Amino acid sequence: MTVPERLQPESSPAGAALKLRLANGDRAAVDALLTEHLAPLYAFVHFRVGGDRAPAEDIVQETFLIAVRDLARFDGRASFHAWLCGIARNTLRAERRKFRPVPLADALSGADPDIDAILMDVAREPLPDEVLERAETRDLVGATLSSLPPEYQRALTGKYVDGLSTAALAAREQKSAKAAESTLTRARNSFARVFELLAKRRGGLQ
Amino acid sequence: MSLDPNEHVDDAVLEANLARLFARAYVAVEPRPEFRAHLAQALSAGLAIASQATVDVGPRSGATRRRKLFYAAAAGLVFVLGVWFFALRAGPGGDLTPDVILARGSVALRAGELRTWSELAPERARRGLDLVRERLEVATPDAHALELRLGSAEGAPAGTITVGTASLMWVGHEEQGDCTRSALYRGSARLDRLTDGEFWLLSGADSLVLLNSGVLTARLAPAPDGVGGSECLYVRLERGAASIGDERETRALSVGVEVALRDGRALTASTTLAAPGARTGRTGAYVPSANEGGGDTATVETKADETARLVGTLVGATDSTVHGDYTVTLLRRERLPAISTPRVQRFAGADRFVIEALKPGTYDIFLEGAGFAVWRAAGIELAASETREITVTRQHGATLAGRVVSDATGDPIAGAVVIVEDEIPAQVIAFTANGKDWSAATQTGSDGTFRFEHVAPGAHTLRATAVGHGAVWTATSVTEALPTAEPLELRLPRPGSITGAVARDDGRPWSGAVIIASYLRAGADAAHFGYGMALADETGRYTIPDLPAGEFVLLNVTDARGGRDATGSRQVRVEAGAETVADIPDRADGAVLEGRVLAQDGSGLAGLAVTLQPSGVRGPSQWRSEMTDARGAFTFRGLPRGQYDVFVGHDLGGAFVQQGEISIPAGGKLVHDLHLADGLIRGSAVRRTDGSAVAGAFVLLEVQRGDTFVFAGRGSTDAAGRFSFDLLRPATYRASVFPSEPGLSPTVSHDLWIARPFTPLDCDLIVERGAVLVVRVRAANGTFVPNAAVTFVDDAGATRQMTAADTTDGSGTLVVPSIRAGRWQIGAQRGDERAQLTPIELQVGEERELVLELH
Repeated sequence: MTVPERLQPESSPAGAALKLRLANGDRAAVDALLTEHLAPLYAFVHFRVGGDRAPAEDIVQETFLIAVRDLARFDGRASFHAWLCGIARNTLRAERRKFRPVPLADALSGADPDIDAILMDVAREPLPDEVLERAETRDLVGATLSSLPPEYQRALTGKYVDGLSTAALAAREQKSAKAAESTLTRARNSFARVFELLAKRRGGLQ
Repeated sequence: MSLDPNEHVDDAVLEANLARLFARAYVAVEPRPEFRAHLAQALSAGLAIASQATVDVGPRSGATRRRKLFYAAAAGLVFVLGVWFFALRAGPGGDLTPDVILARGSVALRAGELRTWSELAPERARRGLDLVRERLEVATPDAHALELRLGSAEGAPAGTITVGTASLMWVGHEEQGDCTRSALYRGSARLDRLTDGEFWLLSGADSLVLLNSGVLTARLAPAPDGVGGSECLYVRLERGAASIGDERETRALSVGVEVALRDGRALTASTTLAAPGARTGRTGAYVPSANEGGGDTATVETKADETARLVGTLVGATDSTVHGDYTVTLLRRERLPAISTPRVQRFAGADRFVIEALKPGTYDIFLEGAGFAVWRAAGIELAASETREITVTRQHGATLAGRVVSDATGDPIAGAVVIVEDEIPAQVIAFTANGKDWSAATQTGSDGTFRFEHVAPGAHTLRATAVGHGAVWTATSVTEALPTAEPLELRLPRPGSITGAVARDDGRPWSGAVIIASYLRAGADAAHFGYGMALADETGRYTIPDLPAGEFVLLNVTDARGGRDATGSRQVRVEAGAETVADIPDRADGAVLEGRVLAQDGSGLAGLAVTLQPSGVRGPSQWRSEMTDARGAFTFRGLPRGQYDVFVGHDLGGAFVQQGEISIPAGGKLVHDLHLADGLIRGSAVRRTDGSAVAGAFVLLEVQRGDTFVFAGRGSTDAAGRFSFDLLRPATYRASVFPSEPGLSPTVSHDLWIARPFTPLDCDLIVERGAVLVVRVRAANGTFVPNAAVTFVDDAGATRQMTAADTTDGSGTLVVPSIRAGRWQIGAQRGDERAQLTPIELQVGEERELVLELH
């Protein structure tokens, strides 16, 4: 499996080089950009436009166009993904009159409060089978994952969806096993925290 | 419990929950590969600064300014228009003129006050563009049209303007006067207005057309023969209301009449298109995208050389037959919710008639004239560019007479309208119709009697209606050998009614909403629909009186959003002598379900009916149905909480297939897309005795679940006995046909296996003779029980569905017109009361009544 080129923050020489390549219209750099950031950004926007593909594509497209245009403004203090999400949020607000973007919790609204009361105990009580089958649960899992940094998303999907071992995760992320384990732990805890928070908000239980 | 991300937590519960969540509740949200490819191209192009040449392609309204652009073809245009994705082809230093763009087969666009043109690739153009109060110039190539979906400031869709192939058009919103204005400079266009409020204006050839509502098609073409001069703007109002003129004078356009305009004056009006060859150069005709793939607008205005021609030769009963004046009516068969619009032409005594410029399709044809029975022919195929010849053999027919009385009192009813329904040249026949324009309609006299002098031999259905009564139907037959049929007595029942309140999405009463209640007659074909209608008053309330008991489809036909022709609908049951309350929407405080119906390639599917029915519900239906719009989107409002079966199909629920289940919450909004497959089962039902088609039969589709088969959908056989089920997922199915003709036995198919790759699966069903069974369910106190569920168990111990609903009607009766001869066990239930399974053995050709008592 070919490991995709990893984007680095501005402070790294690799990041500066990538910026230069992007500025010069390097198609490979564009591919690397999309490979790294398109899916997580798309998921981030998806749940903030009510799951509608059309406005999601519109927002994602404009976000990348703005990002590429204003690449000089990225200073590396936040991750590139976080920077893209910030642009996406602003774009959502600007496009509000064309469709109705909803806050994430509202996009997930409509669930059974009893379901949410169960889901917010994800770190404390085993989830009943019938809850796992609900559309509300599915939506909450996706929305929670989309709110996490891409690194955490990859760790969680790698372990729980692809079934990778810690060693395989480490190899894929080009990290040590210990670092991969640490990332996974932080990802799990972050997932649980965000999951619990969204379940509370959605169920009006906060 | 602390969830500090840096804290190492060895939490078995969390670990187990995460594993199960990701295993069972995780669905990856991925961008489409096509979107990624286009985005990559756009980013690459946008990274290079392109210089754009300024081009002037002709007259346009409004002032223009130069403006510098940075990444103009990418971010700037997107930002100005608020439209979706553009595929960009401009390279550094390249000149983009419309001709260059059109030569590539792409659409050329210029936005707002900009001077530069951009290119829209064909695959992107097929998806259309969304505009919200922006301005746009569009030039289309020969092969592609472009749909512009116009939105209002409030976000609601205002309508669509489709720029035809090889066309040049300007479209924009003007704040002053709050109007959408368009100008056609070349080619053709179609304007489809959904909302009221702001004006829609179309200009061309120095003429102005105001579209108040409905659909207007327009094209620029040379002036009619003999007129001379430059080209004209030809406009035709397909439906709705429009006018031409200026501040001094306006004239309304007639529906279906093409008018040639120049300098604000109408030059000619014609119901037919110009003859081939009258136009030179580009035809300017509006055609849809020629490529594959559905989901986009597909309405076609027929060109002159694509129409059909019908020639009829009249043959009399004798050689000396004088035909007199007569009327020919053609009904082109349309798929619901579209309704056939009769095309009527009158002829004076000729024994041959010609009707030109017919849209290709399948027609039902009626010929009416004094002194003769109505002649009719069903299912006549008229093909493009062809002449179809038919022979009309006229007969004097037989006499049909009878009396209309009140079912309650037996008193004669004067002024009742009686029609020979199958001879009425209309698909929809209001219960309030007076029939004055039809030969096959009459009114009763003061003694309640009626008489038809010339009824064609054969089977007929009479319908009688009267103010203050529900409708009644009765079957009869007329033969040549018996010139006068036995007098009939039609007993009109007590009427039911539907009443309620209609509200807009924001809860305001919808004054003037048009509400239709269309009657569902079990076993009847779709040739004729009886309906009642009402207008909501200033408080949004409506009442439709004088309805027969039974099931109705209730529609608000004024609620046509997103390009749909009909709104959401639902089924309502009317009882004789009772008022049924049905608000639209029925529960403002229920949940909202939104979604799209998507084909396998991800494209939205328009014009399909999405139906929800509470899971496990039998008896009086509580289904709700919504049509998908041009994007395949649907919305249900006011849904009660619960589990629902989801069906998708055609013909406003006449044929549908189950697509799964959905859980509706107590409130709020749920988004749920339906991803359909392409499996197809088709077949026909024929009699074993003579191979003739079994028409109008109910067809049940079941799908295998484990060891059993469960309900998956329904349909019906057409006049040729054919049926089909599409949108099927891979699975094993079974089709059963239930003839409406008494004495025929239901027939079940062998297992039908649908798998990928999808190829049509043919299934023909041979129908045997059977028996007729009438089941009556009675309570312990002796009264007959409506809405009782009846269960049929065959001799193999399998439970079978025998009719559309297997529930008793208002008189506590369930008629099974076709049941297989042999041994059955039959039970009933209503609520907690049950009737035990009762064994019964039926013989071929037998008619039996079975009474079940609940305990």
